[in-house]
Amino acid sequence: MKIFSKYKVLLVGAALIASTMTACKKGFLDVSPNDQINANEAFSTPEKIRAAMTGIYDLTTTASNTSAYAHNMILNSDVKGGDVMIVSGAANYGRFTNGYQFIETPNSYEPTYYWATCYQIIANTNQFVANIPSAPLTDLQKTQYLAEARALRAEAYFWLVRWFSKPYALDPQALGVPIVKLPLGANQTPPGRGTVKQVYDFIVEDLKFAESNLPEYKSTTSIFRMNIPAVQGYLARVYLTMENWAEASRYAKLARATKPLSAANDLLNGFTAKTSEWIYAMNVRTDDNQGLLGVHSFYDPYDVGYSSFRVTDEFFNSFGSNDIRKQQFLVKSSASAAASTAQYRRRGEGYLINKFDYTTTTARNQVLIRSSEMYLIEAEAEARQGASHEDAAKLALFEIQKRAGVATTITANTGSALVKEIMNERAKELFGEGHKFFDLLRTKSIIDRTGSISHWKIVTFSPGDKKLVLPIPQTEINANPGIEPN
Amino acid sequence: MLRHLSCFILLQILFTGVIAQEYILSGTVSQEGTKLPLTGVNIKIKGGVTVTQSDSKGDFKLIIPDSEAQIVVSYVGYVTQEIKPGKAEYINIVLRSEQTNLNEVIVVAYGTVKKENFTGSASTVKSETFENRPITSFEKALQGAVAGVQVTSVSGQPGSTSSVRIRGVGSLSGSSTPLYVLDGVAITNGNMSYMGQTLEVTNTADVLSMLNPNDIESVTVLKDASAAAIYGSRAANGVILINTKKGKSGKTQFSATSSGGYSYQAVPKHDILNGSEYYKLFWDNYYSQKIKAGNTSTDAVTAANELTNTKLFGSKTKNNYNTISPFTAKDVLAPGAALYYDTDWRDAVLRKGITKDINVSAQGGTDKIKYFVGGGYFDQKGIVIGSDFKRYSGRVNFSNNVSDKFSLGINNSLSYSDQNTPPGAGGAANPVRFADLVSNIYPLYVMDANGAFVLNASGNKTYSYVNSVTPDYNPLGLAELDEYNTRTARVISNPYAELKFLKDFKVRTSVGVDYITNRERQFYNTLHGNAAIIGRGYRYSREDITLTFINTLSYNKSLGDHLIDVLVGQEAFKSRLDNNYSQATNFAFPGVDELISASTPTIARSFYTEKRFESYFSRVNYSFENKYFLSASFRRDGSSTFGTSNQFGNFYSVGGAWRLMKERFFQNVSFLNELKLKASFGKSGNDKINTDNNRALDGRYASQSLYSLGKNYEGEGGMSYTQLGNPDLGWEKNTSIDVGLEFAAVNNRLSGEFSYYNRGSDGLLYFKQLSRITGFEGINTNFASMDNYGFELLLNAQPFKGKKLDWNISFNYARNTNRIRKIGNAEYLDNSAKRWREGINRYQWYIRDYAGVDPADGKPLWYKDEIGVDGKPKRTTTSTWGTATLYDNLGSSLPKYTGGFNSTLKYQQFDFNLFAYFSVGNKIYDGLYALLMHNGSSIGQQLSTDVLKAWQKEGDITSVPRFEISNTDLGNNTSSRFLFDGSYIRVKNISLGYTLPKKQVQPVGLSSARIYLMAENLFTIARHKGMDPEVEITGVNNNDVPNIKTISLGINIGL
Repeated sequence: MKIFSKYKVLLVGAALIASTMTACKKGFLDVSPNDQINANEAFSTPEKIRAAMTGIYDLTTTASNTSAYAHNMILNSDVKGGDVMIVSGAANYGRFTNGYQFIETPNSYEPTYYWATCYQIIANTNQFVANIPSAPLTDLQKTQYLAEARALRAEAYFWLVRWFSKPYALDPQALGVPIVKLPLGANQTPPGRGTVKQVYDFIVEDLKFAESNLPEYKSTTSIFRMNIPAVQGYLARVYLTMENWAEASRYAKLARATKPLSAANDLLNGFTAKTSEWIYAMNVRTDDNQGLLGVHSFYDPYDVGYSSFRVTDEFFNSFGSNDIRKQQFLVKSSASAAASTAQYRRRGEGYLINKFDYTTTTARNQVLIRSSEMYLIEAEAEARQGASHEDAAKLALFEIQKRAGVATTITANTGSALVKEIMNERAKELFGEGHKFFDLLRTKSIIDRTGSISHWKIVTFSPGDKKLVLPIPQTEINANPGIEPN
Repeated sequence: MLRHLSCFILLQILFTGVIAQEYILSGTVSQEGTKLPLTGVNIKIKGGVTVTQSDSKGDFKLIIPDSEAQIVVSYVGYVTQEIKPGKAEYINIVLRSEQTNLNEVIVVAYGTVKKENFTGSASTVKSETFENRPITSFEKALQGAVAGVQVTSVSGQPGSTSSVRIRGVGSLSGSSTPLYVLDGVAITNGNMSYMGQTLEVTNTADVLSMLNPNDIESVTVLKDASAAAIYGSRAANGVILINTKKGKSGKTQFSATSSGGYSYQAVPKHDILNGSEYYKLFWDNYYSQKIKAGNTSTDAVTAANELTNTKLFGSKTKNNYNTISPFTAKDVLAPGAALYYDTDWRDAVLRKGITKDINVSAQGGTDKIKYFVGGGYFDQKGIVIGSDFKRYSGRVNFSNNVSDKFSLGINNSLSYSDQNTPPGAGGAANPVRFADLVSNIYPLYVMDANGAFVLNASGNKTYSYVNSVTPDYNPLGLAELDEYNTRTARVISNPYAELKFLKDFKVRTSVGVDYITNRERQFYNTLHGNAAIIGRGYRYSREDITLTFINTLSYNKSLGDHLIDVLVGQEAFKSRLDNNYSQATNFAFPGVDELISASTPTIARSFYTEKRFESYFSRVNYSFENKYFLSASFRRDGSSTFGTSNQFGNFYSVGGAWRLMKERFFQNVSFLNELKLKASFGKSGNDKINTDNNRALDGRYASQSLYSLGKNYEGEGGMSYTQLGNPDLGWEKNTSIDVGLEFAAVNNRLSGEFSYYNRGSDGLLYFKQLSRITGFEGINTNFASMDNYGFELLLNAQPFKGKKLDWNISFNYARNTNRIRKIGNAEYLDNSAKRWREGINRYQWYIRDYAGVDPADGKPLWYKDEIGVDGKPKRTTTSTWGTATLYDNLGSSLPKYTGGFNSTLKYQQFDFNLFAYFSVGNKIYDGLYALLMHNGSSIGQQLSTDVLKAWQKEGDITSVPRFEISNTDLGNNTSSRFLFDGSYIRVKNISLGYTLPKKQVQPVGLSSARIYLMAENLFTIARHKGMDPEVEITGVNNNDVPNIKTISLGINIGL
């Protein structure tokens, strides 16, 4: 073979090397992701700000093991409330058995993820509080975004303070949860816990700001985003919890003003599609891909979802035969069977529940506030203000009873009997929607399962019992040694 | 600017001139020991063109250009020598056979080195260790073969990943995986499966299993700084160099191997209750409840029958017996009562695995052109239903010495695999988990009221989906209806060119292309299981491309007794991982599974991630009188992972070696053949923030503050704040010291190596937990520090040496201690029940301590630390799990020491090889046993036979708490009750071979033939029974396909 000339070889070599000297270019090491954007740019255009707001709602619907907002906090409230129970040995990877037995530890996922999810949402709303003033928006847009962000922040604090602190009604000076009003950096020391009252005052301040600054409610505005009636509904709830009966009643009326009760039959449609009385709800679409991780899946009676919830015999038996809501327990022989096969079915420790439909759609919206709750808040808040308010209470209660078919005239009860009747009506109307445990807490009731033939774990807790407050999660204690544990 | 300058200088060095002056040298070549002349030995001037060969008397003549010239003497099977004749006109050359250990040439970073000259710590594993083994990836064969390398292969799924740790665990939450380098180019490792990462599917799609182990010539593990630091940035956790087979000049050699084998579960699991024991346990419990409540025994029997039926089968009139009232009194079965069935779910999901492995290769060439061509087919059917792996692979390695000065070549690997994996982890459809957790009382097939099988339209038995643990699941039925398929193709191509100039200089440039595509199909049927009624389909595709450019310039010079070897180089790589993922539901009808047949698209997602790297490096090796050695390296690396201020890091090493054997005072010590002392010190780095198997989220943008897209609501696109940035994030640095002693004695028949090392990792990349009040889980930091120190011992002995009988044994042992040096005040928990705290091991268990059973009421007890009334701390017990104290002094999941033993015996035509691995002193958590000891809390869930030893009445002394239906004692919650000694010895491989005598094979046209019988993982001796002791480094077993033992028969033929 002819030997290459020396220089030819050198040239070939040099050319080869030169061609592979990629790294000699400047900026070679600058890379950025294409499914994420730099946080500094998140508030740089109106479109991005809109997306950042949408993202906060997404955090509330995220279907994952954590799903605190999407199902876990709602279900846990009912399961602790005692009318609803988780069947023993449920095939849902152990979910809700902790809550049912009141045995959450600082390492359990309930306190861990309730805490983390709420503060994650708060941190995202605080980005709005910090960045909106200098964002490229009109002044009107700015206040509207701030109002929306602060309403979402109040919602998160309301969850937090009810799970992690003693009830306001019991001790407003008890330890609250840390209040952060602006983004908290990695090197900043988090604030301490303050009092329950401080948290409620902060919630009310945020909600009031939202009420005055959110865009006026129009029928085109989505009930799946913070709107004025939703904020008023939250104010009614918050004031009820604070035992400010007059304000609770006033806001309950305001919230339902444009939201008439729907027809009785809507109570049997599975609570997936909005009705005239829905005020605020979580939107779940097929592309949210919630799968088995939604409220509906756990209530489903057909083993299509997790199908792990039952109502106790005591609660089931408390419904009158004329109560249309009793039909929420009619279960067909299978999901696809004829309606004629529907009957009350007991399985495991209690009755199967068909209030929430899981089998016909993957777009299962989750109602958060509806008018019937507002009527019940009004009734309760009025009744608790004494005899002079009882007529108003009875009228509000009658709206609910009339629709359910359990009464044709207003009740004759007065005093504590009236209050008791309202609370019973409330339990039947709202079961499965995340209220019962908090109702027991704010009314300082004893949580008592003694004598139940359904419950597989008998418990008795007096108001103020340590077990009624979730422990501060271990992850928080580890990273924030300054936090006071429960 | 500096960068431009260095590029420019590199090019300038190429252009300079040469001078010459000639004379004739003659000599003879003979064999060491026998002194017989060697014929056909190649002798040539180093860097020159002319080659001469020794004649039949061993004589040769050669023209020498000048007194500075060196000659190179090479002969197949002998150690190549370089001699500088100086002005001598006649020389005697003695060639040494390549067998002796210390004269091995080992592959190191950017080149090779003679083992005797090497200052670092490295171990080489030869092809014999990989060939013919029924394994999908070569790493599985490293277990026990190299001191200080811990390999764990947990899954029996063919094609699954292994974890490899060199000298302990160097990183906290960043990757502790070594860098893999194939023929000089760093390649991608880890699990590429999207399906395996995002959903609960078994550990799968190891991209290293795309390399055919039979194509590997050797693997070198670089352990200390001197060896590895030239890889700088990526060497903190060691380097594994893989060298593929290259052609050798000479006649073309064909080889063909074929083997086949059967596999079984390697270690049996715990004994479990059968159908009647399970039923009776519940029955007895109800019966005694009723008696205690004051019922008559007749009433108690009736109630117990009804309650047991209702509890376990959901109806008073259903159970697994042929009668609805199986018992007529306590311990008395009704006349004629019998089980309709007794389902052994484990048996149902397990099967005999089958392995087929066929490889053919050809290699050969001339002095100038050399090639190796190989092809392989590997097919393994896993031991669990729905588990298999097929690989088709090809390799073409080619090199051409175009001239004496210029050579080029290319190494190519092409492979394709098709793999099915059963669902894994905690998913209800996981057949292994299902079989472990569902009791025998539920039927495999649907039966009618008389116990006869109900047949479907095609006359087959119908699967029953009824059980109370995971209703609507049956792993056998689902295996037929659902799909979990991964197809991977990988091309690694590495062209290179080398140019020698000015006698002592060599420049080399190479480009590496590593291209992986991965396409996955996942389908949940419409009838049963995960997506009953609507069905759900997933499609994933991934493309990972890494381009690596390497340019090096080396200078090699000898001046009398001084030898100097300098290397400078530049390397850059860019890697891009492109992802596509779509999902749809609502399938038209059973039997269709493509997304087009679904009416509701639910997920459409695409994105890519990128990473880039640029590096400049240099190394100097110097030796004097072949006795004193010094080496030093320096490297500067920039990684796109870090914040702009900290992108670049400097790494270095210095090492020295002293061959004491060459000193005059050892000249008379005849039994010693080698004695070498070596030491090194250096710093290397790590930028891999990802944990091993999460390439989708591998922290490529770890320093940036990010809002993530895809957070959609109400049909609108959204985003949320997901990562808090740390612009100061920089390199994790690993400083290591290594001191070693090598020796060989008794005619090299006994040799060994001892080394001590200390690795200090600082600025550890880890995700520091933040107060959740910030809204973030944590932030990527460089805060913590950790140490690993220990020693390694390697011993080789050759008790018999000869043609008839040859016996080699080797033993290695490594002891490592891991300790967290700095982590701040707070204590951090990782997700596998470990606590990270200063002064303890990174894998120290942090769990509750089981205190046994309270004899009074049968409740489980755990220890609890309290402050006593006297104000002093005291230890008590509690029956409330939640309030028990967590302790971190219960042991670590890291073994105290590990090692291996290997014996190779050849007697005439027979060969026998035994290879064992041991791992001692770690604590492992038996999570399955915990699940099987639920004592009544999980209805229908399988129970261990140990439950029969449960506490029954006051005063009973037992370690098993009471059994109660709907038990709420939490006795099987995480505690030391299920923590066991994880020590074990495993006979990894035994083979017995017979090589047919040449006179028998030559007449049929073969040059060689060997048949063998091989067993992989044949025996395991473990301190704790009932689980495979080879578990994840975290000490936790999983519910995946269990490890396998394989017995195979094979034949190797040479043509």
